[in-house]
Amino acid sequence: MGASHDVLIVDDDDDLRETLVSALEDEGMTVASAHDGRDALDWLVAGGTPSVILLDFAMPNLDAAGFRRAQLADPRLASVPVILMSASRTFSIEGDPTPLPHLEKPMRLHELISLVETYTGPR
Amino acid sequence: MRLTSQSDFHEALLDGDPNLLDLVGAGGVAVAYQGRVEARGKTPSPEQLRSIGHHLSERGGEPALVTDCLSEQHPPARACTHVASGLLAVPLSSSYTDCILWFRPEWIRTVRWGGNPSAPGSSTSARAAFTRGDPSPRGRRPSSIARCRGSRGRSTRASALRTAAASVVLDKAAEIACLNVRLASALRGRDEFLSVASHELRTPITTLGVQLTTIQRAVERQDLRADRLQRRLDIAGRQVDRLDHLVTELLDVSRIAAGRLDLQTRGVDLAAIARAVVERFEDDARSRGAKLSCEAPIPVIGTWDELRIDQIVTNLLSNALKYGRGSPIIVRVHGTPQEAILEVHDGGAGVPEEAQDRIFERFERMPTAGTIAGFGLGLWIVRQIVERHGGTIRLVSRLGQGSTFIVTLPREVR
Repeated sequence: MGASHDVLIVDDDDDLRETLVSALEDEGMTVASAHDGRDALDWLVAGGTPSVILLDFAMPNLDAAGFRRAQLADPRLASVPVILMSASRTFSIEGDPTPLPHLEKPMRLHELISLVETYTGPR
Repeated sequence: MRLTSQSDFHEALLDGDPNLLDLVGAGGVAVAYQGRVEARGKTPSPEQLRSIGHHLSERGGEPALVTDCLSEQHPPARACTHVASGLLAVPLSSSYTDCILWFRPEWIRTVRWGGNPSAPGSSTSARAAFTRGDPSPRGRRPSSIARCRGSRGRSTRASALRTAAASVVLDKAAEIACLNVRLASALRGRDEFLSVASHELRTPITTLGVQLTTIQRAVERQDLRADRLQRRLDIAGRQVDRLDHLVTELLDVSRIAAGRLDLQTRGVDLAAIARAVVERFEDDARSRGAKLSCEAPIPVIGTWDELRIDQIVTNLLSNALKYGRGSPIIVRVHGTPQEAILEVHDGGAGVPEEAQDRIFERFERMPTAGTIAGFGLGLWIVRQIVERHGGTIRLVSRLGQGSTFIVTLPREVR
């Protein structure tokens, strides 16, 4: 907890989360993961500092919208960039000041890597 | 006048004064309404009436039908030309399922009855058929509501007749309004379902696609560490299983909706099936930290579809693991000489009382489901299979005290 990472992946699907973590690690990135918005928030509040957050749209406990509200309300976390992932073509979060960059599932690995690298710099 | 029952309706139309027979000056009249057919005067036999009704319903939604030679368009009617050569048919709704039929025998087939008599089977509007009201062959004056003016009693009775007819229209309108509401709700359900379905299908496709690319890249880099590769293949294989399961559910739903859920029944042992399914789930239960036990010591034999019974146990057990939150799970099989009973119990969150009926409906899931994977079709499919076997399924559950699904199957499919 609390270490600096390139990417924080937040997705409730265990297999997809593990797949994305290992795919990005293969690219030489340091990756942390959380299974929902609440888990992700706990990790960030405990001092985690990712360069970018890959955030699934629909999740139990705390979904993307709830996570964004909590993130924007915390001055220390508000500026961490977020990429939204969704399977349902819904990418806008009500009340979010700026439209977030997004990936529509099923996305290609190279799309994912090139978008993430715009925040982390190329490996 | 308010109609309170079907028989009120038939009687008001057929036995009042005036009545439908007087109104048009026919030899006989029959009223078909809500599955009951009543006839007065000279009409074809009930069997022949059914055949004529069937013929009319195939003609679709013509507003009214008039012919002076019914047998030309419906040859079986040749057998009853002595009572029904001429026919005037007026539907009471959008089809001829509910309708009024007036009959005239062959000897008056030259009499005009409305529409063009030389064109057998020509259509005319209901209003035109009523208002033309040609003289009857027996020299009676034309019958119509208008004729009743002047006699207060008859006028009251005529208005009763009109009320009876209007009440059918109102009934039908209410029925249609109700159907529209159900249709709109079904369409909403289907749209939501399509959105859930695409979400559910895309998640394993994403995982599968990314895993295959990762494996491809590993091959290119010649990074072929067996343990890493094995892990990736395991995950990829699981996605194929998930997709297979989702597609099977969709196929089952379309089969059930089309009434094509055919059972291949033979003598099978429910206890043996339950034990086999429990064994299949042992790894899954262990990984969730749930203690899984099976109490099915005695064979419980019945004539059922083995694969479908396996599907019932599999589905209920998979739900119990999903919603049981690591609590102990018990599968029990016992029976009476007539029935077999399967119980699947979990000690999870339970289902609130208001949701207990709803979870057996299509596209419904436990309120606590959140984004637990699945279409929300499992329990609906289970219920359809159980009912197809002539059995029942019920849920005994209290919030915080777990759930028990109880399936009762007759030993033979009725």
